[in-house]
Amino acid sequence: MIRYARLAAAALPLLGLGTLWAMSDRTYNSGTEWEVPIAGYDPRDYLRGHYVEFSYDWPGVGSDPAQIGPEALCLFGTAPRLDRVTTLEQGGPCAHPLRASTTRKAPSGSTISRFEGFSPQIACEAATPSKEEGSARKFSVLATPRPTSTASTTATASPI
Amino acid sequence: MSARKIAEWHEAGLIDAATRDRLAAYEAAHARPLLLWAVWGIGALAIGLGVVSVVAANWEDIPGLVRLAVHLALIAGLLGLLFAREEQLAARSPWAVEALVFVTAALGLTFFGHLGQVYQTASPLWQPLALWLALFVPLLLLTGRSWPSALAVMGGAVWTAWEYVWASSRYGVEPDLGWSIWLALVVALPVLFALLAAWLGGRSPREDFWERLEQLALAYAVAGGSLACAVASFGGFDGPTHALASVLTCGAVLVVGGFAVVLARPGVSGQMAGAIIAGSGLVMPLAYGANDTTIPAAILFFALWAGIGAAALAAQWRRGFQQAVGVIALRLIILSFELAGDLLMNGLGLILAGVMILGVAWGAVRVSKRFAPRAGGEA
Repeated sequence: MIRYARLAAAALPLLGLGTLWAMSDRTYNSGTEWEVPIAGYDPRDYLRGHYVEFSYDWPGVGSDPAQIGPEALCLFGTAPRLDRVTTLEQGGPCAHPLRASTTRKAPSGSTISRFEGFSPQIACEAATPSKEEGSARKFSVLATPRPTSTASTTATASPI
Repeated sequence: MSARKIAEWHEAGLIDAATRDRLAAYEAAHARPLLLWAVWGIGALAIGLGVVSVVAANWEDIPGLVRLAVHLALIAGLLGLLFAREEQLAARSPWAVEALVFVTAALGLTFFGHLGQVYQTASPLWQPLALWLALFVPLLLLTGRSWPSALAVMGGAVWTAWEYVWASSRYGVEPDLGWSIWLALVVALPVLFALLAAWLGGRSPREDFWERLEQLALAYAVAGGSLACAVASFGGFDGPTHALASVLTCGAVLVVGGFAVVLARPGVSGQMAGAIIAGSGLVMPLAYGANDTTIPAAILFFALWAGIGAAALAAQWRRGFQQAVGVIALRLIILSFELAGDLLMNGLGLILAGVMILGVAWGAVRVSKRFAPRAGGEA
């Protein structure tokens, strides 16, 4: 009995981590790429190294905090080129819908939405060291949307 | 112990030849070549650092899938070794098994971060922590031998609980009554590991592991009770709308957990451990009642720690008693500053404060030495 329990305890982490890896890989490789502009900067941190802090600058919606909180967006254009974005009403027709997985109120009263799978991958060259460290810079992002609205997205960014 | 010393004792007539030979034989059998171990350790550390440096320097050039495969293969190898050789390893050294389990669990935790780096996934921290707990706690509970594994279990549970609460109550959103109770329940739940440890401690050959786990859960409960007193002393319960419901929920979980520990582990030690956990729970609503007061909140704190000291005396926990005396002394010093903070603004006040600190420290050491139980019995 205890032997089976030990076997299960040893197999469980392996199965769990393996399944998680397979799910991540499947999600990552089953999307369609879209180019989404972003606004952000590239801070440098002794522990975290170079990275990018940014928000999406959705064409048609913008990065205005009061405007970026819809629960769903509709993407227009031909992938990877994104022409414009509109707020998607419940049940409205849309060829490329993008739904928020979580939406919450910010202290300022504005709404912050987190879009499932839209945690984009920023290419390393996007976070090249800036001589003006800490200063705000603009980026454009090449997002990689997936066939389904909930698939994850990869993106590459370069300073403009 | 050197052979030279043993020979000197024999020559001085302190031990006879037979004793000398027995001592020499014992020392030879239990020799610990620390210098050799140190050299081995330095060599292994140098190699390890070199490998880490080479991998780190070329990290971006190694394909993500290869890195993940090596990471998972390492975990699989360690899990296989644990499953196939646990008994043999434990017979040679329980610490070898403990180190293997701990390293495996740590590698498992870092695998989540590695996945996130390769696939650029993101999620609230409590989610990977909770999944790690679900995947690795059975292994830790079944094979842990001492405090590192116990710390991994309890630390993981507490970290997950607080991360969940933090992620669920950010952005200034005031939770409603039901949500407040749920969050308080989540925060208090790790204390129930004390019940599990108390129940399994006497039924398992790995007593040290369960004892450590129970101690950690007990420490978490005591930290909760102490924190409630500290929060009350500066009026911290004024902020949240449903603070009373949260406090009552936490307190109820601790009281129920404490009574369950008493039932699960018969004997004075189990009774005292349960009493401390339940007492920590009882203090919480009382601290809410003493909110924004200085002396009543401090008295509650003293009562909690005096109770811990009394329980430590009853159960013959020397370190527990000394810690209780030390904490009470420290709180006394803080209380004096709270009551007479103005004194610190001038030279005479600083002198008086210094004399008082020395006096309290002297009294604490005297009490601790005079009344502390003899070393040997712990929770």
